[in-house]
Amino acid sequence: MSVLDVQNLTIRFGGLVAVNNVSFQIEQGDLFGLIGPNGAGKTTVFNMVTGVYRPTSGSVKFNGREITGLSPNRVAGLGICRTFQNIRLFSALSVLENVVIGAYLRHRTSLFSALTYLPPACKETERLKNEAMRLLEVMDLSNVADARSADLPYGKQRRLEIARAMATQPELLLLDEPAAGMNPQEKEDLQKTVRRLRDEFGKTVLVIEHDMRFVMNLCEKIVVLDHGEEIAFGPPEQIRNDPKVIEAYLGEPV
Amino acid sequence: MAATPAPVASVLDSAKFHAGRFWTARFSSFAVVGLALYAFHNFVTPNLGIYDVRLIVLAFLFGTLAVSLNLINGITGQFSIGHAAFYLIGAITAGKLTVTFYKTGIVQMPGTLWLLVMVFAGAAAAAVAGLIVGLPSLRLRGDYLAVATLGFGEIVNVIQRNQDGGKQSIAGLDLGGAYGLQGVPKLTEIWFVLLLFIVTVALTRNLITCAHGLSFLAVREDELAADATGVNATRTKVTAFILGAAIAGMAGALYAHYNGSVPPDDFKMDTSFILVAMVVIGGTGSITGAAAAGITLKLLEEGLRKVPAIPAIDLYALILLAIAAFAGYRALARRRKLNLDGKLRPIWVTLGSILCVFVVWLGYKNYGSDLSWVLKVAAWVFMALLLACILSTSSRVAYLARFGFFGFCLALIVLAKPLVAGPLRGIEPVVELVGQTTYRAADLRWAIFSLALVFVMIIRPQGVFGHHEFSWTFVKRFFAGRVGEGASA
Repeated sequence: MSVLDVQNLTIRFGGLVAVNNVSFQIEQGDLFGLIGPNGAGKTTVFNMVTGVYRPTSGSVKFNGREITGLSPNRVAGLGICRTFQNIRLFSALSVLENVVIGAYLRHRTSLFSALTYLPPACKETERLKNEAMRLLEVMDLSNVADARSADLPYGKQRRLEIARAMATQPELLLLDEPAAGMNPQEKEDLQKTVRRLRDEFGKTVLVIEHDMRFVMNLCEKIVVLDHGEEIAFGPPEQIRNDPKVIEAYLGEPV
Repeated sequence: MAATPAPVASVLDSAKFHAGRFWTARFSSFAVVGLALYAFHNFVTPNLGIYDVRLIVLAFLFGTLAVSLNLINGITGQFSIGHAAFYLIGAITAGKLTVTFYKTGIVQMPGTLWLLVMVFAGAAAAAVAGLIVGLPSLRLRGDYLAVATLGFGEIVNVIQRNQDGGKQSIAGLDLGGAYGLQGVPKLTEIWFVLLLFIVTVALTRNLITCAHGLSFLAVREDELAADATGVNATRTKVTAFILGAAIAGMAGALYAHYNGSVPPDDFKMDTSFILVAMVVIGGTGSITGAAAAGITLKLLEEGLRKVPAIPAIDLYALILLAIAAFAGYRALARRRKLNLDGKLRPIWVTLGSILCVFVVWLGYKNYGSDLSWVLKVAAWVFMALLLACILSTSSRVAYLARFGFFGFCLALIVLAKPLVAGPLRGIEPVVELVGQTTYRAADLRWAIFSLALVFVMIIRPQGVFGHHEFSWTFVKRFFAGRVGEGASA
């Protein structure tokens, strides 16, 4: 059974068909790439998978369970978490607090015990904070744990988004252009980190990315979208040589 | 390589959990609050005059209301401007129940116990209203939600205004109509109001020191991201509305049993707006800020009644002089002739120090010419503390210089007033226009109040406390002028 099974996903905004009949399957432990030129509908696919948009037709199954049309927080609760193309951190909060909010998904205490500050709430806050701190260490952010998240440099903000998503302990991690705006060194580090998330933490990762070198090096399977249509699917070598892809997107072989 | 960003104060509790310490702290804080209230009730309350009581009750009720609104507006970021409606619903529910059941003797129980029951009844009624308002907030954002809550506030007020038991009343329920519900037994003691205030601050503070509270802040910061990170934004928003409304309902119940009546005029739109102003001025999201702003603004609003009457011409003269002083300041500053740090500094510092002491003395003398010794002493201690605060911070020299300069300008303005007012009186058209008009303080009260608000907002757009909470380091940094919203500020 695939981790994520997307079948004939279609969405229309008025007369515009943003995504048309897209299907793909992601297996456990895949590093899966979703690429395509600007406006191809990649982020829209993400939004449909995570419940931000409800698809016009088609279905999304997560571990065999239908998740089409669930609200984003339910989807996150089931084990799919995402990052955003335009960074959306909780900017006034500290780096640590951002990650604690991700971990908060697994809270057990009631609102009442939080309001009266009973020991369970106390202990849980401590536990979530420790969890968050460990994740910050993995993402190499522990030295800025107390900084305001908006004050971080761009690359670290991107990493923080991943850390926050990781804090929900997802099975499937969706990264929306994680390398955008990074310099080559940062991109290389990011690549290592993403690999590590898969190899060490057993996450399945779906990446949207513009940077061809990044995707080709990182991903093992790639789906190519163009104008909302799926035009190719396969391993990087095959995509690199696919005439349709070259025509739509690459222009010349990389 | 960018420097490491400076840390921000985390709202999360940083202490490690330790059962013994935890329960010691918990019980000792209970004991301290209990003892303080007991002492207040037995030693202070009997010495208070009627006006003192009104000041204290209103100030702390509004402090409570501001904190409860802050839970919705500041912490969860849902812009609500109909908070007076929850206050009214709590007041009218509790008042009506008391008039119907307690006053008529249907239910027999001690007054304090009954009031406690009524406080929870008011809270329950307001919480239901909060749920009703909270539900549209799932669909509405920002300005749209503000308009919806504004409408809700007016609807509730208008309904009460028309519920006079006549044919047009809903279910023939008599809530006193435009005069308001009358004859509610005055059961509220001051310590009840103080207790509610303390409990409210404690509950909200507890909430945001827990991971729970972070979900509210997350919704404020970015609703979509919060939702995608697994925070149930819908539930969080509705919870915030219910909690905020319930606390306002409790305050309302206490108000009804303090005031003895529930006139709809006390719960009009302007009450809602004042509350929003309190939250914004205190700093959206800062509990201590909202509490402090709530108490101070209510006291200011009441205290301005004591401003003496002033002839119109004198007022115009003052305004003209103030404009001239400001223009002069700008001109000097532009030519760099204004040098607060240069040779003149010692003079300004001396002047400033004298002025500080003078202000404290003036405050002590004037604050409450007919207030009881309790409030006088409290006000005096407060101002003495403020002075101590200023003098104990590292930037006192710079501050005193500024303060002295400002005081000098002020003195100049006041001293030169007759020189300008005299010639003004000689100008025929002006005298004809203004005549012998005298502004009474009661007329100017709102104007001065509003000007003060505008001034605060211009100086500190993010509110006095910003997103911060009160702490002594905060005081130091505040006086040093280094409180930004971030490290880069």
